[in-house]
Amino acid sequence: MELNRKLKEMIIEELQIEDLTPDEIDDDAPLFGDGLGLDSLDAVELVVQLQVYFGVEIKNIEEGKPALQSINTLAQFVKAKQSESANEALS
Amino acid sequence: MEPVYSDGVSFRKDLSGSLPGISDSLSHSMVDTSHLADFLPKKSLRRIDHFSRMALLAAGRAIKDTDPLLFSKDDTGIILATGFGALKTTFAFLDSYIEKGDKLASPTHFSNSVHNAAAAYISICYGIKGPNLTVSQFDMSFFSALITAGAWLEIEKTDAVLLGTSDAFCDVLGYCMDKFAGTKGKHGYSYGEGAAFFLLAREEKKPEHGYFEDISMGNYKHTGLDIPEDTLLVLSPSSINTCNDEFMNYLKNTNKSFYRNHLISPTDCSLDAFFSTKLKKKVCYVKIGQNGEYGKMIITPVLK
Repeated sequence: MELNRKLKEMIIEELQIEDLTPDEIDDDAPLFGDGLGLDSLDAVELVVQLQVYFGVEIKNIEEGKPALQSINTLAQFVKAKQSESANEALS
Repeated sequence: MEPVYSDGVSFRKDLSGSLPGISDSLSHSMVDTSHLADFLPKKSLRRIDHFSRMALLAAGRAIKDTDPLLFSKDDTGIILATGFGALKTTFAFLDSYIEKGDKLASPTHFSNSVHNAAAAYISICYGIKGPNLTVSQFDMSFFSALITAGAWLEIEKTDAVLLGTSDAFCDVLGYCMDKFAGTKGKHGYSYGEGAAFFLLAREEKKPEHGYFEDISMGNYKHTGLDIPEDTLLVLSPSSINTCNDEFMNYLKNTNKSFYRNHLISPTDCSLDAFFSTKLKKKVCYVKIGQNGEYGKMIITPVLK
């Protein structure tokens, strides 16, 4: 849950969402459209900030589409990418 | 028409003990744009930077001040003049590019750093559907935009033009003006920032505030400068101080008395144009540019 909170704080800070706190963002709410209301420019900014904050890269739309659905899917993606990198470093 | 502006004097006083142009206090916004909430929902302002917010606020006030019969969103064009564009955002983008590399430079900063972002926001937020243009010609930006607006009205490209300016201050600009432009401490000039917008229409539509009688650009070193006798002359300083010194020497020979604007910004003349409508006399404004370049406008206020 710590990762979810960090993701929410990153989104609020970097996407300049002034009227929401991390606690007010539902972990399963859609990030785009009716949920948080993000748009295509936010998507590009999110891809960049995920690299800056967590060192993980979304390389293409096949990876990005399922990852950018909600806070929970984003957290799962970050965890998976980070353990992938850790395994590569060990082998 | 409405301006939003600040002359930055209070900021300069706070800086007496610091290096020229460098202070954390200068990184704060000088113009308060919180009143934008009177015109637009807060949610629609997300991501919009200070430069564009100033333009949006001034444009919103100008629209509010306009006779609804004069203003059709479908037949109004937008022209924005800016000398520097969104300078603070541009530097923020360049910093992110230098520090993190091209792959991690901020896309949001980039989208706001393009010069025509503010005019695009005005069109989107207020639903104005006519042609949209941003003009940047340093100290001559406002005059260049005015001449273009006149041409649009002349050829009936649009029924009206929402014409305005925006130029924002930032600490890098203050540092450069002190260090390279030679403006520090001379002639009592102070740095400033602001935005001003006007709704211009053809002559047959009765203006509420005033007329632009003559708008021209030229070079006084080549052709001289004609100032009508019946006008009050007001000078706007160039952003480069040596150009002001040269012009003062030229003016000494003409025996023409004048008033001087002490606010430095490439587009400060738009604020002059606003204030002229509060006067009761025809005013000739001259903005000094580089190498003898000048912009001139004669404004006749509507007496009420």
